[in-house]
Amino acid sequence: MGRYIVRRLLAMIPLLLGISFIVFALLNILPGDPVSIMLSSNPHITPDANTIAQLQAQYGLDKPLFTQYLIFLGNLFKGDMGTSMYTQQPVLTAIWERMPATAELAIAALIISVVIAIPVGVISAVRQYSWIDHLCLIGTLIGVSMPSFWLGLLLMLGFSLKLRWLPLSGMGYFSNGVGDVLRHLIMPAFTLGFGMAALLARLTRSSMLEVLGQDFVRTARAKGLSERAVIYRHALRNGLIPIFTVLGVQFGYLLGGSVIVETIFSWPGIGRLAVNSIMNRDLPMVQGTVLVFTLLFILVNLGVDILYAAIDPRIQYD
Amino acid sequence: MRKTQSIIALLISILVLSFGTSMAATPREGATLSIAIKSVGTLDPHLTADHFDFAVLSQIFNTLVRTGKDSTPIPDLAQSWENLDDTTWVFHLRPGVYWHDDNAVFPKGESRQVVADDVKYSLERVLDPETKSPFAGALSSIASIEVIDELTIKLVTKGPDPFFLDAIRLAGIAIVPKEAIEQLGPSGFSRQPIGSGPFKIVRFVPDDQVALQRNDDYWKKPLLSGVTFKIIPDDVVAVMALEAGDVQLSLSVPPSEVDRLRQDKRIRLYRSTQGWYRGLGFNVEASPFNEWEVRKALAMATDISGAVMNVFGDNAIRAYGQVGPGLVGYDPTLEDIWPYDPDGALDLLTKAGFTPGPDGILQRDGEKLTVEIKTMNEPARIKIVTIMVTQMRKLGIDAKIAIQEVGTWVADLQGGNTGLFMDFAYSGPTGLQAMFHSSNTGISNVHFYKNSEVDALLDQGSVTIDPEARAVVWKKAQRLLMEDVVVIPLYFEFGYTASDSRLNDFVPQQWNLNLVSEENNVWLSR
Repeated sequence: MGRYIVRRLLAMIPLLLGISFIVFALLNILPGDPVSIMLSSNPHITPDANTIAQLQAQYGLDKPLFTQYLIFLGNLFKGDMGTSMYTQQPVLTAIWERMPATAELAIAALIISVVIAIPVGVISAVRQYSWIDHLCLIGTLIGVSMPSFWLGLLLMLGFSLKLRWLPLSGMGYFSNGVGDVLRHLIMPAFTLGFGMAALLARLTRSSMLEVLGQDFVRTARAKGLSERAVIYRHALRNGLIPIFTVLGVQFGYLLGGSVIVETIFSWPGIGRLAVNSIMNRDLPMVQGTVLVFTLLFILVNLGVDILYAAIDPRIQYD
Repeated sequence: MRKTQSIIALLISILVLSFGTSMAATPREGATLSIAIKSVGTLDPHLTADHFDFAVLSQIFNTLVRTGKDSTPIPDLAQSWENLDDTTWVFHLRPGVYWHDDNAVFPKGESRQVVADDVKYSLERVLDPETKSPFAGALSSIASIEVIDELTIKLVTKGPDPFFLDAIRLAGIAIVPKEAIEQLGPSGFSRQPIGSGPFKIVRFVPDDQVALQRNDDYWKKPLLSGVTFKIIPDDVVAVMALEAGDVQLSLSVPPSEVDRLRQDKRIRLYRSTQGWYRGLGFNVEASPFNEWEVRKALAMATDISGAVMNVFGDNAIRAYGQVGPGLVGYDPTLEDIWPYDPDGALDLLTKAGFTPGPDGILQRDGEKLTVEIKTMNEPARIKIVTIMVTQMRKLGIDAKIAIQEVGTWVADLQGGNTGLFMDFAYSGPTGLQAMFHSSNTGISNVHFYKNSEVDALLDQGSVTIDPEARAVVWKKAQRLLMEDVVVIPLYFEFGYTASDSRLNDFVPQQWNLNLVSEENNVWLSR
């Protein structure tokens, strides 16, 4: 197991290098240069050739591409991801600051989706083709196809503007009490978690159906176990294994931040940071966010694989 | 009886009136104002060109001069200024202005006065290439900076510069304390800036909020006890936040929400006095737009006034030149220099050799007349261009719209990968120079237009101090440009700001947010 983990961790190095090169190359192929975009944002400044050339030199953009990449790599090995060209903040600090907000939203959304999806999936599998199964089917169909910005705006209209129960946007702070955090969290987490719940519920249903048809379930029933025990102790534990993989991947995505939900709810997460830096062609920031995403994604998947072994004793790594 | 009744009515109305006026006239102190703002990047004034950043910065910092209600310069850190000659400016600083205290640099009660050396340091910091300030170019006309005494500073420009006061009143040229920059470093300063303005920083949480509190030692005590900028990236959500009472001021209101907000009595809408210039530009080097007849025909081919009216109603006015009403150089006689005349347009195209092909599309030597209008992705601009494209197609022009992401659009315009395109919005006093002078080709003159006569006029305009003389020169240049059909001016789009109707003494401005200035002191009634 230990050797397996070390091997997986070592495999990350070429992967991260490869990703960093691809991102670097892509950003340079992309039309638009950061200095011109920055200057064109203010019609009151007339960018002149001198200012542009001077700024480009200051940011090292006048050097050949490969030299730029080598400088970036050199700094990276020193643990320096550079500073944002737009806000002048160190890239790592900027990412680190937004991580808690993103993690808070991701975990909450994950919990909401699991809490909705597992019971819904189990019930529709157990009562296959009943009216409740059809109802769940329709519900999940709506969940999968409803755009999150629409659901988000609808929730805001209802719960903030009309009923005035919840704050419209922004994040709550523990310094204002747990209530403040929860009140701010509930709508964005639900918006983000709902679509995911729909997907998970469909998966749970099919996975459960498969397990319920297997021999050990029949044996359990033949032993005279109660239906409850059969479903929750025997079938569900086995049915959850494939769901776990999907949950891991989804959680990895969530840690990358959800741009739409973060924008609608003014959530200070990492998704907005990434998209804004792409829009501004803020090269160091884009590099930094993508590398951190990649790293997190790999780590989460590694974590899931390790947990696998814990849940299912049949799986062993060596 | 009737007499008594009327006396009572009169007394009541006097009472109501006096009560009403006294309510409005007694400013309430101590409220915190929440403002919805689209984004806040950095709070180091010398490192940003973003006008949302400026809104926050103009509360924390002073500039030598501020922009007042009618866009004229009003005193800020400089109490007065004089022109010794065409190139020499002397600024007399306001005594008793102190840097914010109770922070890492100036402990409570240990601040110091803002002096002429600070002004010198700040301007030099902007000019220093190491700073990477986008405003270095704006100050490039400065030849020397001389401290006369503690509160007097003399600036000499390389030549006569009528735009000098416009440049130094931008929030990006704020006055900053040297010791704070040195002690906190640029990245620390951009998060915990120390200025001398009416409000001081409490906290800046990126992408979430900037909280400010009143500077009790300010030379004009702010009536608001604090200001919180809530960062709300979506304009529609910002409007909802205003309606829900989460904020009392929203700095950007999308045109689609304007009519709805007008109906709401709890909300006050403000229209900007000057609109943003929007127009189509030609790349005059690209075929067939290098032909004057083709450009002129396209300018006449569509009903621009109708399209503008349809899309904007009274949220925009038709533009006939690049300089808008109310600005030096505005020329009303340019109106309908190329009126809507589809038949005339077709005649011109026929003269240029275009004839309808078998598919009805105009062509010449087997080549279709293709017009692709490139625009950035913005709903109103897309609507206008779509209307124009539809009308052009009716005339047999193979017209289409290309919607681009901002970075790509900028790159295409600057690289000349264009024919007809939604133009840059450089406006204000230096807009003409930026958009049409040959020295700016490929940067802000993306028309690749080179006309020595226009260049000479623009050069003359940029050194003419007298506004009336300058207006004459600019009008001449503008007429030449319009006759040459380098651009098809479309409209001036008004910006909207919306506030809670309890907000008082607030005057919205396109490029500034004055909450406390010589002219006003914003407050919130109960």
